[in-house]
Amino acid sequence: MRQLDAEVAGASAFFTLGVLTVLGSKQLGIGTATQPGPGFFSSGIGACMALLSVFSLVSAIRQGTSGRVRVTFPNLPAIAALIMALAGYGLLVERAGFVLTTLAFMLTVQMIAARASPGWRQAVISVAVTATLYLVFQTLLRVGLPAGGWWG
Amino acid sequence: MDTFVTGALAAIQPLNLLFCLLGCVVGTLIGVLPGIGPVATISLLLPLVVGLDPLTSIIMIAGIYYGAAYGGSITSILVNIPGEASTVVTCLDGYQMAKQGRGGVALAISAGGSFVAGTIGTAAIALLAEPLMSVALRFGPPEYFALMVLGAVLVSFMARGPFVKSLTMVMFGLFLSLVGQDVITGEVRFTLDVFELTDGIGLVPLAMGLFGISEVLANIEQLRTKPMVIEKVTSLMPSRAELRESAWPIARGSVLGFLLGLLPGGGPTLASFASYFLEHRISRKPEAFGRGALAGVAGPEAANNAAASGSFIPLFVLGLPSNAAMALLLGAFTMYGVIPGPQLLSDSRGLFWGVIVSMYVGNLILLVLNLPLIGIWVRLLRAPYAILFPFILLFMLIGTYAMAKNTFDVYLLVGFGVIGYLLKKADYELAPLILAYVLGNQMETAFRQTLLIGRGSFDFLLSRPISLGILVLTAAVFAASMVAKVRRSRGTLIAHLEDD
Repeated sequence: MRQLDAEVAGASAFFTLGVLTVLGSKQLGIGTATQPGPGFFSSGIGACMALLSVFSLVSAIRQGTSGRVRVTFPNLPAIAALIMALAGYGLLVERAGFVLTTLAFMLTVQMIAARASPGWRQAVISVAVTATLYLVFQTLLRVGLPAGGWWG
Repeated sequence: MDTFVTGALAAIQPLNLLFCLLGCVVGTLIGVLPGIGPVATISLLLPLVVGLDPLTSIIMIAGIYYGAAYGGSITSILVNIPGEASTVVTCLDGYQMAKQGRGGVALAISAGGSFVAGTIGTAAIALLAEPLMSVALRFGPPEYFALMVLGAVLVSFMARGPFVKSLTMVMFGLFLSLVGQDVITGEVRFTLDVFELTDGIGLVPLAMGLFGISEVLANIEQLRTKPMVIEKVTSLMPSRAELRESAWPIARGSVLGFLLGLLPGGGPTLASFASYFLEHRISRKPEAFGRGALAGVAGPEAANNAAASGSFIPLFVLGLPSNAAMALLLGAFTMYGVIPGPQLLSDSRGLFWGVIVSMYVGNLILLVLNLPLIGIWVRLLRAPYAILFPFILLFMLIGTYAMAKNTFDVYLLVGFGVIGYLLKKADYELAPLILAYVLGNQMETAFRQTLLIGRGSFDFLLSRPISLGILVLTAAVFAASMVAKVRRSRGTLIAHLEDD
């Protein structure tokens, strides 16, 4: 399984974010100590973030490869599928409505968990969960769940 | 004294008792469901309590806060999934105890320890709030700024991972809090031209994504192999030896938790971790930690409850929320036109004492309620994880959608879930991030006000005794972390040399 050097990846990501924050702050206007602009505080935050990630990186390099955190991603296809399903929920809930989207989400996620096509048991569970959540949020908490733009 | 009696009588009115009970039950129920912590629950229920009397509403919210802390412990012990961040550490030994057939004892010690800590915490609030409010009247922007810096540094120091990584998380949290409109100039910052980010990143998608979604993603990795539920909860009655063994950790956890709860940036999560490390460090059997040590459950459980009480102090005294749940409570106060801070005791004395008394009543209700109801919570958790986790995900998705009524927050939730998952994998601690985020806007405002008052010079910060004292303490924490790092490096070097 492919391993990722988490120390190097994390430090590089935060170094980049820190530098971008400083550049963004400069565009906003850093101002002076007597007249701090909207980018004054954020430029300090960005600089600190970049500096801390350099420390992390140097410390990781000094430790050598043996002491570094290396991560693997077991069951990556299931994780990726779950992330897609979550994003899909956001994409569909206002268009298709709460009931349809929730039913589809429940079936998809159970399929991901079981790594098999959904059967009648999964269908019953999906209907029960959707009905329960509808009762809790719409009837009890009066949240106002989306009915769906596709239907009118 | 008169206002204390008036407040106490108001708190034990049947309607207020009923809402206190309701808050505790709902809080425990939600706390039992992994991934949905008190922040999400309070956010969800906030619009519903608006119509109630201010005292009743705040009593219920406080009940949810406590209840969620109790409920979170149940899942940590029985299924190794923390109901919320402050019970993460309970998993380490609580779950091991449950695997050894001592789950009932772990739950009883957790409930009893929480009650003792809650009692100590509530009594301490009643004793300390008034004198501290007179001190707080002397606080200006420099003191507030110094206090928030101390909070951010302390939370990094107490975190499990390396200090530098935790500080990076503080900076990331501060950065996220700056996204949106600048409070002073109105300038829009770091929104990447996304209109929905103009009001900033919401607390609910951020907190639920980082803690809830990332937890589920991490659990999916081991979905097929990980046993999710302990089948049998054994006797709840601890033996005399177990009671003796847990007494000191509970006492230490209560005091440490309360003190850490007082700090801005402190709170139940920080307190539970700090207590665990303290117990581990002073234990005669440190090797038992992580393998079912009772002190590893008793200490953190007492600490997180005491901190939950203690964190009311900065809110009441300074008007500063020390964690996300307190930030929401601050929102509830302001909805009623009640401004927490040094003036609270003079302006709303009855409300203040009513909330304090109700906190004790809430602790009592939780103790009476929790142990007999454990069977019901266990049954709830016996639902297979394959059913439970889609349910939890849906709760988070709908809860996030309901707060803002737009799907953008749902995307944020998913995005922060992925970021949280990756950060956890890379051994970055998430608690400093969320606490820095909560304090970020206030910290920036206090910083800029300090600069303006001091005409661009930081000398002003050092010329005031309270801010100077706090900054000296911050420097001491920094120095302590550096000394610890040097010692560790020296130890590693010596070990390498000996190997060679």
